[in-house]
Amino acid sequence: MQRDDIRNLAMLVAFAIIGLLFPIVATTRFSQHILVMVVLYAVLGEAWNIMAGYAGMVSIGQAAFFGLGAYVSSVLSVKYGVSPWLGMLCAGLATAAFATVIGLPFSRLRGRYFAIGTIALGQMIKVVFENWQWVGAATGLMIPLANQGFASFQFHASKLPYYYTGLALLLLTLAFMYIMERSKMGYYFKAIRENEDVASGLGVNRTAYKLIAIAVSAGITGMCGTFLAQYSLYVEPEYMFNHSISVTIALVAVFGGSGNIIGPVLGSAILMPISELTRAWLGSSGTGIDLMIYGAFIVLMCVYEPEGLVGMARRIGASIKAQRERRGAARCQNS
Amino acid sequence: MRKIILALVLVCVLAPMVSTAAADNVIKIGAVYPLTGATATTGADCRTGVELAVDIINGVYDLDLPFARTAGIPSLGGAKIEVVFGDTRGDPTQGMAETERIITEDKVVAVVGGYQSGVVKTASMAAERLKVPYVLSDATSPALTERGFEWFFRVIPHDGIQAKNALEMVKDIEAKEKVDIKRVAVLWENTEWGANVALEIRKWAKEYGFNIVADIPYTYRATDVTSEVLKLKAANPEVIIHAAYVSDAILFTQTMKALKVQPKIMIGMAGHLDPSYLETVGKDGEYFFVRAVYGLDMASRKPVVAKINEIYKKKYGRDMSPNAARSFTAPFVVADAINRAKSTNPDDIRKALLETDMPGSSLISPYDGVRFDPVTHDNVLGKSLYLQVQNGQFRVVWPFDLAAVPYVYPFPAWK
Repeated sequence: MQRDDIRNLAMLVAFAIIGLLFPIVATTRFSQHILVMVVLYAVLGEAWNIMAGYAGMVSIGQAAFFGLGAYVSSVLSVKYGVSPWLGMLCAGLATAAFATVIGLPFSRLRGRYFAIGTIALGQMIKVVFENWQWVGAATGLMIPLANQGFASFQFHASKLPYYYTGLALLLLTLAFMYIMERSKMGYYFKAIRENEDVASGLGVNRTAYKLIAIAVSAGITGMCGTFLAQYSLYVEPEYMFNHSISVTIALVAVFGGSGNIIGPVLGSAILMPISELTRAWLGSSGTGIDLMIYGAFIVLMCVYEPEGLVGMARRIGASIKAQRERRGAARCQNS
Repeated sequence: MRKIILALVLVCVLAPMVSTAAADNVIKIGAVYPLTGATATTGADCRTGVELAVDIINGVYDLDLPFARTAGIPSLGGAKIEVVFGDTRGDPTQGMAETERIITEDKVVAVVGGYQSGVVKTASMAAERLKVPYVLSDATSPALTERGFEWFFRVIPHDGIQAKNALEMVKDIEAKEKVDIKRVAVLWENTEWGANVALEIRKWAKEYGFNIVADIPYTYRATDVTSEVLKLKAANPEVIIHAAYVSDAILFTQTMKALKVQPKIMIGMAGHLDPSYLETVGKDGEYFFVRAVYGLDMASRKPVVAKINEIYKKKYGRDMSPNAARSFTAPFVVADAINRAKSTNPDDIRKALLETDMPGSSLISPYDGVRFDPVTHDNVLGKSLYLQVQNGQFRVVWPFDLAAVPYVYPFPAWK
């Protein structure tokens, strides 16, 4: 194992410990809600990262997979009494399968055309669900209240079980990405991102690997859909397929820094609390100041640090190192 | 640059620490509305209704409304009501989070508001989970009260009751004009709301002995409705009931005029009430009946409506809108329950809500009063108004005891 690997692994473990201990500070229901949103969007950001950050396919239609996942588990649970946990698994598999089918034509699109295609996909699937009577059409589905507990995947007294479930999902995703980054697959993804044609010329089966990236990303996103459905106990097309979900997912990943493991987690850890807290403190004024502050953060980031928080951290790290070296060199000269 | 970002972060972190200490003898209730986002103007409008209601409860006003002449809640030593507003952004997750936040952090003892049915679904779920009463006076989806919630109460009549009222009005007109009306057509936009209206019309038409001669759905925001209108014309209905949002209402009105569809009674819902409807169709909108739960005209039979509107106008510089009027009712229902419960314990308030019996005279809405069904918690005395467009204005014509002017029957030939 190389030094870098060990450092990254140590960082992951540290993250896990911080994540596990966080609820000691977050005792109120609202702070727990913020934590839940942080882990949810961290997972969603990571899923986006696989597809866009690593394999170079920028998607602004993740809500299609998200909503689909939410609907699969909710329909199974409302109509057939299937456990939401099994439903979550089915949601992951179903969205991955759907994404593979959709991915066949989509993987031929490149760059901005792919992004536009995903926007269209998100909107189309929303219209389908708005008119599909069997799944409740525009009314959506209410998941009936049940006794709380892990069996029903409903927790009423405290939100912490939701948080830990989300955290587990996040750690699994991070572990997957850690392995992926070091495997042949990770390198193939990056090769496709940097130059598809060259990668293909060097023998990378680009269609297959693009499909894998899309399917994995969609599968994880679908499972997150189930998570939010169980969290709010309500699915509706306007809610689950909302375009703002797609945008927030991309935002979180880009804000934190895409193309590396830790970026989306950082992005979510900063953006979600800002979004929730500004709303809580300033939202009731109805003036939109909260959204302006939130927007200002994003604009500042885009203008001054397009590489995201990770880029910022790297730059600071590099400048500290350079300073130290300079001091070291100066000391040598003095002696 | 980094310093600016740091400063912004600090402002955000430190801002909430400067919280105001709560005064004694204050009862906090929560109100959640879409204060930002696409529905922000409506949310702000609803907010004014709640603010005015609380003003009247807390202050001393010479009005024929409960709690107007006294300051605060009499049974609790004149305790004042304070409203904590939450911003749903029109999003179900945020609606849920905000409701939870104001319940757990601000310790509100009851919640009102919501406006959008989809957001109320999750917001009321949050209140149900945390066992705090939620009194709704502004969202009409029937699905909301079908869930059998214990802590959720609705004052406004749902779509089903409003649809039923349409046929009751036709019955009343039939009796008064001594005519026999049988043939009813229902025209509906195929989203949740329109589908529900059609369902209820079918149900009540059977009950009241009408024949549905045409049952025509169409796609929301249609671009051409000629075939639908031709079908309608072929059925030759005496009554047309149309559930539409504003753009479809305009298109259908114009197409019906072009194809000379000539019923005796034309009834519109929702979209026909939008200010831009009459602006666009002008004289062609004349003599349409439109459902509502508030009309300034009610003042001729309910003087308090005019007085409230005067106070409202002084405060906000415009007439009270139907949305503000809807939101105005819930705080009174909550105050009434707290007053009778003589307690701010949510469970006591819930029990008092179940025994609510407010007379129609204590409201600015056309309801016969407020009394909740023991199972669904819908207001069994809820009732909608029907307005008729006369000389470019919406005039209250039904129920007859609230009518400001007589209705015009039959629907005249298109000009």
